[in-house]
Amino acid sequence: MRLQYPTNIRIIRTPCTGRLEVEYFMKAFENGADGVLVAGCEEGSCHFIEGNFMAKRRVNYTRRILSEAGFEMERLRMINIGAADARPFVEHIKNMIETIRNLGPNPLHEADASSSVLDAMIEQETQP
Amino acid sequence: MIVAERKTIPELVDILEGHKKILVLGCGTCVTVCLAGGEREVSIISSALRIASRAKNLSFEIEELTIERQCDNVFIEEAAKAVERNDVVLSLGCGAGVQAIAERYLEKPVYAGLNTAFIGILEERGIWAEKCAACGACVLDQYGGICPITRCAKHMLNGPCGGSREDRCEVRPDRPCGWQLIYQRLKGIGQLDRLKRIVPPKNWAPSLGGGCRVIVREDHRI
Ligand code: SF4
Ligand code: SF4
Repeated sequence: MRLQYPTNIRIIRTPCTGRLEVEYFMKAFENGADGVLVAGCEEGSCHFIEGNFMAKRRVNYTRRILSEAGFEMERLRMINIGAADARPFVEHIKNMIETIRNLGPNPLHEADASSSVLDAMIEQETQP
Repeated sequence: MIVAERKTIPELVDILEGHKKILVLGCGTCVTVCLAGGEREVSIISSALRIASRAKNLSFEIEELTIERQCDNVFIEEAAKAVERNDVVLSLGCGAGVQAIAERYLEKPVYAGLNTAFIGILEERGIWAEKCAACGACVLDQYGGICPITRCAKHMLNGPCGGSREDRCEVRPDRPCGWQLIYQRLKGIGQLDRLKRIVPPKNWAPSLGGGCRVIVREDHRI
């Protein structure tokens, strides 16, 4: 299946979403990312047993601290998706981009405010 | 260890509003272990403050630094240059750390970024619980090593109060009854006899009542 996904995202691979720390998300936004979508494995199928649950809790904590700081927490989202689920994967990305478009660019973005939507996309590396 | 938790970002913004160059100073000891004020929390809180500053049109310029121990002059020295080049310090140390820094830099506002909560331990991942109130006259020897001051909601020395349900405290149903724990522990170590004695009222003089507590060790003075 060769599905196209929007080109204005950047995919960052990580061995497991459990590797992601709160400070990574904070730095991404501080550095101007318009949105961060964390794609973890489906619940119950983490190769490292609970990495995706840890990621979920960290994402929730980050959303809280972002909203405390007066920043739209909707710019950070986590989804759970199987490595072979190409179609829903593309849907999730489109959906996220739609959310970001409605919110507009990251207000912290120092560059031209009208610059195109840039999403940092963090995807869990597919397990063999 | 001393257990603390961070103040909210709006609280910190309130404290820091009007200041420009801010040093967020972490401490590498207790508050690092309880995940409140170590290097990582310094990074997270600094990011949040930068984001808040830009979102609210403030002009925070934030520098991050974590030293080994804020309550120790030897280590405070390491922060000297960073403290000098900033207008204020937001300390993520415990209350003692904040005051140690403030005493050292008389002309620099030093603010507490954490709420220092208690002396406790990590019970399970993500959960810290109080174990000692530093009462100054420890009675753990009489209670099988379970502190009746901190672990019984009524601080009873001659418990239990009779209100516990199952093994839960009637005041804090989310916590085990301290006296149930004392009973089980004394039973386990064969010292149930201790419960037959009526313990007289505790001497609270060495506790907070008499003002700032000081320990003087003549053998260590110069
Ligand atoms: S009796 Fe006092 S010193 Fe001993 S553990 Fe309890 S509060 Fe701390
Ligand atoms: S239920 Fe137990 S812990 Fe709670 S107040 Fe009574 S004796 Fe103390």
